[in-house]
Amino acid sequence: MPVTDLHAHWFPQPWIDLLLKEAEANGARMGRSERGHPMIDITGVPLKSVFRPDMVEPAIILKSMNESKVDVRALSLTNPMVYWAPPAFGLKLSQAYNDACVALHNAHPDRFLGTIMLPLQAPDLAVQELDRAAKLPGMRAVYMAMHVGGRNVDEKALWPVYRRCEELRLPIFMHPVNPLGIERMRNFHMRNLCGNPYEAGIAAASLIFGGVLDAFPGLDFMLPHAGGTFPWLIGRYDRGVAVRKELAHVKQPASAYLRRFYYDTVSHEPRIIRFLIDLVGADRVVVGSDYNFDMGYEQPVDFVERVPGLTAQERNLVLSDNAARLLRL
Amino acid sequence: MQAGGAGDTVRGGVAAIDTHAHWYPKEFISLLDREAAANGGRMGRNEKGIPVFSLPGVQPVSAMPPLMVEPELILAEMDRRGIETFVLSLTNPMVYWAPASFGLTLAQTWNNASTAVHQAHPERFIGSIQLPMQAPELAARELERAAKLPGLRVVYLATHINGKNLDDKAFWPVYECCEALGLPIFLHPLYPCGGERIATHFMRNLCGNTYENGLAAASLVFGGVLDAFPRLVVMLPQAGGVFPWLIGRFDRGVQVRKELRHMRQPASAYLRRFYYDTVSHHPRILKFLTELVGVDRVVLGSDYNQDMSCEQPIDFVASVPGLTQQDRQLILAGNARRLLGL
Repeated sequence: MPVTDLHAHWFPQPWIDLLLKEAEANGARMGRSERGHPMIDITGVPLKSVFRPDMVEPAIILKSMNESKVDVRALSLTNPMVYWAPPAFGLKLSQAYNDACVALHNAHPDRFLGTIMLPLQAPDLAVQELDRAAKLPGMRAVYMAMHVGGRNVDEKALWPVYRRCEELRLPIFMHPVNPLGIERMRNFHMRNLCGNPYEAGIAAASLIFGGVLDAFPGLDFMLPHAGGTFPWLIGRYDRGVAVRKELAHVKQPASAYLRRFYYDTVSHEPRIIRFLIDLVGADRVVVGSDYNFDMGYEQPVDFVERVPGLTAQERNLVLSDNAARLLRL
Repeated sequence: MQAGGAGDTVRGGVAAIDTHAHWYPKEFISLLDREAAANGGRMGRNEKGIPVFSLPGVQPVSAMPPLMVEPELILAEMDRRGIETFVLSLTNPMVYWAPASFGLTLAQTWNNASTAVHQAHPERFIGSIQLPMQAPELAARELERAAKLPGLRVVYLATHINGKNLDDKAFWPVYECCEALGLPIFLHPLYPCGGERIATHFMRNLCGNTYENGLAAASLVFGGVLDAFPRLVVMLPQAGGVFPWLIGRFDRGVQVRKELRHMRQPASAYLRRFYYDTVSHHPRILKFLTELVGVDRVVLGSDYNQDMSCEQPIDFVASVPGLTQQDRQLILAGNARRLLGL
């Protein structure tokens, strides 16, 4: 019964090398952090991602897993992802990431799984890369941001990608990037504390109200940060469906879609995870760590142990069984 | 469910107080009719003849139907719902959009109408104080005046003032006044941030309004307002919006982030500095809220009279699982009485 962490970030060295070689020619600026680590600066993106060794070196990641009772990690990219780049370079970055994931999985098949990065700024290229990457060993999910260059995820241009994910039976792991409302969130780290969970509410609303979940009934989505704001707004979403003409097309209450999503444990409040389990079901909650950011968990398993009233069965589901079902392990 | 049916049982002799109910006084509408255009707003009538206010390029527009204008109609609706008292407040467009002097005139007009309707129906209506926060000096002066008027027990503020968050130092003299006067602040979302990303599927309201509550609460907690004014009490509508559910994340931020190194307590230590209304539209989530913040911090609200409101708030409270009779009485009236100093 391996403990599986579905929210852990990795910047592969070959991917960083590609950025160092070609990012500037594609509109980004590469630099070094105060400690000398590579860093990327993209116009319009306030967060400048630093590629620190603990998020690059597999040996360090493995050590942290051993020290936190995590057996398996599904690795994913995070900010800056690849949508900022011209399509051809976005594709190249995606391929570099996906190939690195496979290589790492092959080196440690029992410890690492990969998630597929796609150049969603060019959906036709994205489908093409999805078809290629889905055949590679260890790639068990598709990774996507909660908006693509400011466009919400119900945009019709993305539907061919959803159709292919459903056909390939690959779940989609979502992640916030460059959140909305930045002009009001400059202070107190609110861009992250508020902005990131806000993105989840908008992404889930877009998938539900925009018809994506109806059109692709076999598609599963994972929301990080315990679903962010989404689960707690569900009553309001239901009310909207009941009374608003903008939602007259929605055939079921929004709450009927709660269980179309999986939710990780990164809420930092054990009682709120208890509420979440009561709301969506213990079979929809999976371990996340948000490795290796300061806003993540150093000890994601210990956090699960602190959730009040957790039965042995719920514990097994959250730590291992749900991830195995979702990723078809 | 029949109107008042379950309510009568739940109330158990308690005179229910609805803390979240909106009203556009006739005098306020007339003033807008006369002077909005000269001050950058637009008043008109929709196809049903209902007054509608709009600001160029801003959503939503503000419709002012008779049920939100005529006290007799409001009273009849309160009777139908089994509500003894409404705490009345303005909602969008509020008054911050206007040049300062017209903002003051609008606020005074609202406050005077509020006190008049209270005096006509002292058991049924409590008023809230609207302030021209775009000019904090004028706001403090109007607050001193309005606080002396009968029946005005609350200061009403939007979750931002023309895009400025509530921890902006310009507003602190107003907070100081509120604390000195012992008046709680009721917050309300207004023209939420997010622009194009929340333009579809009614997300401007469904997401945007509740996000505003999170930004406002974070700004008051992290910006030092609640430390500087330790007796200030703040009410968050829509069951606190997203704020209570982000509290773990806020606590983690306080532990690890340099932007929050000034914080001396976890964010969760401030959960009980707020009151939360019942407008979550989800009985179980409201139950979770009472467990998280304490049942003594939850007050009845309806968001009268919008389509997103809770039409039978007493029945809603009756549907919340696992509440005792005493819990319900606190939510229906006891907490509001304490909060309003009744």
